[in-house]
Amino acid sequence: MDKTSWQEIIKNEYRLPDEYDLGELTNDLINYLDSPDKELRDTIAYSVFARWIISYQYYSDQQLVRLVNVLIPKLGESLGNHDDDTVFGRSYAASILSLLAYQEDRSSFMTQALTHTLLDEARNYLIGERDHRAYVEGKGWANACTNTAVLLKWLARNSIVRSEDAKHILNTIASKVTMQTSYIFHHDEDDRLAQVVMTILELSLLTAYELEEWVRHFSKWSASHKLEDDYNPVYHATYQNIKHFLRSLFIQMQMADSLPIDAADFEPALRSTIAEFSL
Amino acid sequence: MDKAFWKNIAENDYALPQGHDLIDLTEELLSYLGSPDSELRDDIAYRTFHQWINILELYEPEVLRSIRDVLMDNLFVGLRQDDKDTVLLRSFSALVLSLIIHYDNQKPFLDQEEFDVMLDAVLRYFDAEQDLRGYDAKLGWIHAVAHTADLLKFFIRNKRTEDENHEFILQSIANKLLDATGVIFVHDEDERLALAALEIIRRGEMEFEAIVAILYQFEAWKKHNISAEFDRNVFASNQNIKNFLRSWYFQVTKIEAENLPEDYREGLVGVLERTTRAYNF
Repeated sequence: MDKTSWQEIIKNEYRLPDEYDLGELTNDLINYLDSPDKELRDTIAYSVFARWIISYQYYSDQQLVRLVNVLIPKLGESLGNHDDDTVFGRSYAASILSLLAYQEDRSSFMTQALTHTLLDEARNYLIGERDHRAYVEGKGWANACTNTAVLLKWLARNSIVRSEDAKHILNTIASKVTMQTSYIFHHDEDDRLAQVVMTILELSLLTAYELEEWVRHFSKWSASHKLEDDYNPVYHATYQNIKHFLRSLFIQMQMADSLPIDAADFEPALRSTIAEFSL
Repeated sequence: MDKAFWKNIAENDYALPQGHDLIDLTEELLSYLGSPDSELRDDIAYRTFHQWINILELYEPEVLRSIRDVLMDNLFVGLRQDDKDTVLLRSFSALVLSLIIHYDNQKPFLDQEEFDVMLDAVLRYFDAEQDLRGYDAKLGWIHAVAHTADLLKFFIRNKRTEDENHEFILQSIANKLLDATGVIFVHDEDERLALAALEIIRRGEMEFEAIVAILYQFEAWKKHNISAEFDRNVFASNQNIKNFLRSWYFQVTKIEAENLPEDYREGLVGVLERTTRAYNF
């Protein structure tokens, strides 16, 4: 289908016209997720999926499951590449999966096994993604880290997530934040990653003791990476990423209306870890 | 003098070597401040000045004044030639000026009028500085924003400043963050600026309402700049303001309660929370 027909659909409040087949159009939309054309990928595919999955709930449970199964493998396509257009397909697959995980939270359609698979794949994807560009001039948002963080946030709310899963998610976040990179997050990735942690705190999935143990990841990093006399861009970027992430989490905790007891008990440990990343 | 000469001085605890004239060597150090060689500019000139001004206190007030005059002039050299690396001279002059203000904090020698002239010129310089690079692989540290932030912090610590000065300084910091510079501060400038702002809180002289008025500018900026469309300048300012507010907020919550009047502290934390919240995603 051409762009003009999609623009017509968008003008008509994203409603599916009677003469079109949902399955065929859905396949078109899935193909657009790979496109470096931001109109196809973002203005059309993402926005249409958001309406069709969540607002209008056009898809049956089986169709939703099929979407999940089609999108999961896309997370791994050319994973490890960076600075090329393959990031769009992976990142936008994560983004549509986050719509599906949100919908799953409202009306369950996935089996426990599928939810677990999705959680594992999302975690692997967050760690495996090496293309950290948030915005690509002329091609629009890539934003893989943010999109995957949002996916993990919705998955963390799923009732199958128990303390073991919550620990895995937190460890994944810590690995991402402490990864060896010279890229400094600067498009709110810190906030999005911290929101995943906030979700786990709000649901009381872990004890204060477990949270303190988790935050030691960052102290360990700081103990094993000392500032050298010579400027080291990787040390520097990682330091900044940790600093901003911990502060973001601290700010979100301070500003939460109420926090469960374990999260509140964890605050002093967080505060002293932040002090390790302060001047 | 060659580098070996200066290394020798460093190894000798920065004692002035026999048979050398302090004024001649000082002129030479001043000539290094704009050097693209970070060893001359940073390791030799800055470190030696730090020792000679603050630790060994080798300078008489009149000599410090003449050093100060050179540094103040340096702040305005090449301000409009942004394709050159003239920023190095400005930035490292600001850094050495912070040593002089620090010295005056310990052993007052400046009179009020010359102090005021200095602060006024430094704020004009900060406002006009367009080269905001923090680090460059070839040149090493540039860091004009961090160096000026440090300098402002020492000004605020000085008892000669009062609430009106603090207000000008905080506004000047806010302007640097609100300006559409397109540069994201990634070398702890957020924290260095926040440490200067923290010093204003520690002094506790600036009117609470005046702080609120400046914080409100950040809230107003955010309201006017919410857009899904990508704009490099908007994103850079958003990130800079967000990081600055978080650094400042975190530092303010660390001030021990007994060091500030309780309603001042609580009011401030409240309004900082509100502003910081506006920048949470």
